[in-house]
Amino acid sequence: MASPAPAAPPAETARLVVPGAPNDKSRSLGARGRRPRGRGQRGRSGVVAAVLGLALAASVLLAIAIGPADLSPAEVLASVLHHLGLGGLFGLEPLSPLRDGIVWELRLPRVLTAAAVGAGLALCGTVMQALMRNPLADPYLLGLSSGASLGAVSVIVLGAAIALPVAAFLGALLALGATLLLAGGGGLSPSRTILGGLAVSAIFGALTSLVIFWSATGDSYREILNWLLGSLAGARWPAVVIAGTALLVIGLPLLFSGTVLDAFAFGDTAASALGIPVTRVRWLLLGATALLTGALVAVSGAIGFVGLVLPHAVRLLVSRGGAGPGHQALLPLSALAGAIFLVWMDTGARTLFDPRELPVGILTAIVGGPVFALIMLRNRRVG
Amino acid sequence: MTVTAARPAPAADAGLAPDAAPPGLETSRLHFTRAGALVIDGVDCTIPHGRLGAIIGPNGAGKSTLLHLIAGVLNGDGGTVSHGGTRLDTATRRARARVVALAEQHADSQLELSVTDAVLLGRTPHRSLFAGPGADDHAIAARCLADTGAAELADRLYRTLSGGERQRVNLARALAQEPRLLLLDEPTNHLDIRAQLDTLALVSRLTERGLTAVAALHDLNLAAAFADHVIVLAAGRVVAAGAPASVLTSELIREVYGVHAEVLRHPTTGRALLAFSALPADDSGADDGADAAAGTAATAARVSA
Repeated sequence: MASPAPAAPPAETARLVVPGAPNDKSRSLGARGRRPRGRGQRGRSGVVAAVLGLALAASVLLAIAIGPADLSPAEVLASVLHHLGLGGLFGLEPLSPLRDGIVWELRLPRVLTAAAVGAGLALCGTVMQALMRNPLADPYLLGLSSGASLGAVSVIVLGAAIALPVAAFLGALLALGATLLLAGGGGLSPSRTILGGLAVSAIFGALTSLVIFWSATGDSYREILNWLLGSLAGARWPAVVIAGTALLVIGLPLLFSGTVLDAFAFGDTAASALGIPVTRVRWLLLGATALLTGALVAVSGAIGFVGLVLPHAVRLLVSRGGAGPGHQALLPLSALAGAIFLVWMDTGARTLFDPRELPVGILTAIVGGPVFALIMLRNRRVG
Repeated sequence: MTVTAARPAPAADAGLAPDAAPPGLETSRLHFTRAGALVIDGVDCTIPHGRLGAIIGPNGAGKSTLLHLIAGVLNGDGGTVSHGGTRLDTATRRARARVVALAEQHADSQLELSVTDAVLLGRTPHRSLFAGPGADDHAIAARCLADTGAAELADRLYRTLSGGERQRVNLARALAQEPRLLLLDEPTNHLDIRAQLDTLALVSRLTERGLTAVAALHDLNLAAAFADHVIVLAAGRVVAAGAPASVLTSELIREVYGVHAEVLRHPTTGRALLAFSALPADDSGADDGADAAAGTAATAARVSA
């Protein structure tokens, strides 16, 4: 070997790169330089999933008990077990018809709808953030929720409530298409996508308000607020069926997209070079999020920030030395966390100003708005 | 600009005697149109098996596009791509990703990925899409990091790496795909001179283990120093191909790049070494290259304006 340079162990050069030197492209943001200690990421995710699952079950029982009727979690459990035909098995006394009605006809379906909507929106946010490589992507910010609201409101006005989820889906799909078109097709810049979503949200939100105002017979202002900010006040068993079915049929398969979403970490070209059919996967998964968002918005209105906040919260919760979990762990954990989050947000919405109802979207925005700002500040590269 | 060419000269017949070896990369009449313009115009090229090929050419010649077509990231409008006698363009995307890996010029992620996780992505075409990476995958990722001299980066966050460290990790990710054909888009971009030499020396060692590698390179001296085979692209066409010594001539460089190049011989490695200067305004050709360095900077602005 005539010259020693290439024969030197390459490892030495890695050390030669001086931080801050012109060839040092490291970012100070998030560049904490901490080293993750050990592995066990998956074991940790499993523990977190178990904890979140138990927390969700406990949240459902507690949230049903909270409210003016002074129910205890034990009574809630008794009512639920009786309706499932398991009351006798545990020797439980049935509740009075009035109290049983509060649990079974009012609060349980409302809490279950909240859980399903929360889980579904968090899933949609996780998938959209990965596919668009945009930490701010979320069904609400990109206008899907407004589109779905417009679709839903339109068919209600036309008296075709059967077609509600379908119309909401078509609205969400239309809004998604409009946002992507505005953002400029192929190379979706995160900030252009958000701006496109803003424009689409404004237009579809205004149209939704107009349709309600034009057609309403009663309190049109409350109706408008409920659709634009979201509310679960009217959620009964049919809402559980719609949101639950959507979650099972669309949300469950999405849980298996983790490896594919991981492959998008370095962008479309890299994903394609790893053997992922990028275009097909993108339209399939974005279509699925539009479908899921449509079904959820049809029962809850446009609840914001759930899809934005939860994936980030879960990443922080499970991160090791700053390295976030892969999507295989992130998807189910976000769904569980989203369910818990919305159950409690909705409980706040119906009890904080009792007997008046707050649209739940006001509470999720109070939490989500600052998180949005924080992500923007932390992630100045979004541009 | 001159670079200390480091690799010893190859055997005189390097790239010229592929008969014994299995066929390497072959493209035939590859073409690709973007926005109505022909970006790749009927490219036939051959890189012998187990060799390092360099694609050179001016900006916009189609180097990256050609690599993307070979990798199947872009779909060509016609033509064929094969490696080792097997058609790649008709294979499924996943099957193709098990044979070809692409190390991109710019690789960035907004996620907080550990270096190990980034390299494990290379295992995607080999593992089930419904299971996490297994012990094998972790072992291969660790080995590829070691191969690229990046073993001690394994637990770092990708975002905290320097440009040179990232290039190593990106190369490790491509190697984790266990490709038989490795495509590198400007692998020496943003690297200091030592890291440039190290990277190409590593790739060149890998080719000795039977890997076929193709690198798009801007630096003609690096191509001269390391490549077994050079393909010159201009406006989407192959204008010359062959061993570096036969391709990198003063005439060709003038024709393709519009500059004058003095072809010297590296005193230690014996490989070609190019010294550039701007063509004189009257384009009369043969001038002496002695004042090349001084003249280049001064005239570069004028030439490009």
